[in-house]
Amino acid sequence: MTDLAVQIRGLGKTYPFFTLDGIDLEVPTGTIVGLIGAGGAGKSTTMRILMGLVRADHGTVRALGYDLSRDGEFARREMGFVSEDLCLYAAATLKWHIGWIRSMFGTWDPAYAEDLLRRFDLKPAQKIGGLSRGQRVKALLLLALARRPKLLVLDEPTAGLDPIARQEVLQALAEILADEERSVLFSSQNTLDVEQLSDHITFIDRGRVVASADKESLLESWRSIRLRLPAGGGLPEIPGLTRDGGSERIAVCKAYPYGPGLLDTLQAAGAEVESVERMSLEEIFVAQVMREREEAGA
Amino acid sequence: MNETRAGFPSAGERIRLLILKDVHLYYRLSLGALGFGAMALFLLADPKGTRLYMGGVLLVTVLIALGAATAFLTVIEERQKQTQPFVLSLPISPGQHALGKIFANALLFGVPWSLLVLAIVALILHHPDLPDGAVAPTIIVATEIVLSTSLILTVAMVSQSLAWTIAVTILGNVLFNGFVFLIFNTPAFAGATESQEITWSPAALQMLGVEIVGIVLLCGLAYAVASRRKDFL
Repeated sequence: MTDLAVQIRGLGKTYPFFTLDGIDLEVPTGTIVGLIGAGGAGKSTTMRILMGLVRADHGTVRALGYDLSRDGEFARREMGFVSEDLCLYAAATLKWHIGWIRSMFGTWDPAYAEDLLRRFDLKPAQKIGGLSRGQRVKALLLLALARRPKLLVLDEPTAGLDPIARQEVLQALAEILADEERSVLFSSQNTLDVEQLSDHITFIDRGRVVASADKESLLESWRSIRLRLPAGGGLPEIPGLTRDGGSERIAVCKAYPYGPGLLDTLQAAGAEVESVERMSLEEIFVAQVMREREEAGA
Repeated sequence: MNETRAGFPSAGERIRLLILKDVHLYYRLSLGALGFGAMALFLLADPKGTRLYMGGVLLVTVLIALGAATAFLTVIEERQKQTQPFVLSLPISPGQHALGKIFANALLFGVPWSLLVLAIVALILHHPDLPDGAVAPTIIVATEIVLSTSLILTVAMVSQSLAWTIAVTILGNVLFNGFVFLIFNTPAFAGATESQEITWSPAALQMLGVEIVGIVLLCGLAYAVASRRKDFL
């Protein structure tokens, strides 16, 4: 058993208007890694390459110990993929899909499939063409989860779902966390979903990884600080402290990397710390991406 | 790397599952073709005047339409409706997927084609108004429809393009009419058409051989290209 369910090194893919640029990504076995990025950032391309649907121009991809450029077919026996790219056969029933996938996977768990059918309120006799978008995502999830994969790759599984369907999907995903051998790579534009589920977060922007850390470290390393500045004095020049707004005497700043010593430094420089607040994952994502873009443009 | 693993189907079994999938999804098309084919045979059973013409045209149309439709539905529509990524996200190699497509088309088209060709040959042999000498050119023309279907399937699998597949289908139909005219109006192929004996002239055998080789080569090309494809979106 390898310690890494997924190991991506220097992954690149060039399209006419987009380049995936040297992506490095790891999914430790038994963890849920959330991949956050804006639309067109490269999340789906990375996942498509991981699933063998798109060929990388360069770089290496290993999953569950397999080199995917050579043994993708074998790796996919233990992988499940749900994506908005995937469509089931509209003219066939869910029951037919279940039977067909079941014959493809010796690991199929019929009791779990029945449980998911009930929980997702899916009717096996219904044709896929008659399902709503939310029901189609649930059907895809059922077909992926009931085969008990060691690695789940979920590309925007909650996109476009109504709040109830979204919650049901998130709940089902949260339950699979109980299996410590199960690894998940989960992409979303919705940072709340990722924050709710993931152990580890990776930010991706314009085809590059801009940050990757375990969730708690990431949340702990950023703070929003409100300062009252001394009369006639500006914001102290402190590495990692960037002004985000405020007025002449009040500065609202983002601090990264944040540490307790920062407040002492600020106070020593004459600034009065009015408040220190944790930032949401979305705020951190936006701040990190903007910082990277500014540095890239500088 | 071990090919099989406990609990997982072998490569052959996975190809069988791919074939069964397409047959399950599209077998109604084959049944429909058999139904229209039966209507054509009914017309040909009394081969006089317009009934002979209508029966022949209906039979040929049914077979050409069935071949094109199976290729469009199993290959082009699967790509357009994004069901192809679903299948290829499973433990299936591009080569297995390509073989599945070729054999599924062979079944969906080949079974009705075989039954209808057998029926028309039987009709020719047993009907006093239909000369047995028509068997050879009929089989050559029927095999050309298989060749044309193979070409459409190959273009669909290689290009995965609706436009190219439509273009080749149209071209195939245009050339087919010329081919039928050639076969039934060239003495080397149709010299014995009016006789009551089945005659395979060297030219007729050669033409049949060229058709069969063409079918094999086209299927081989379709497999060779499709099994090497790396991008499926």
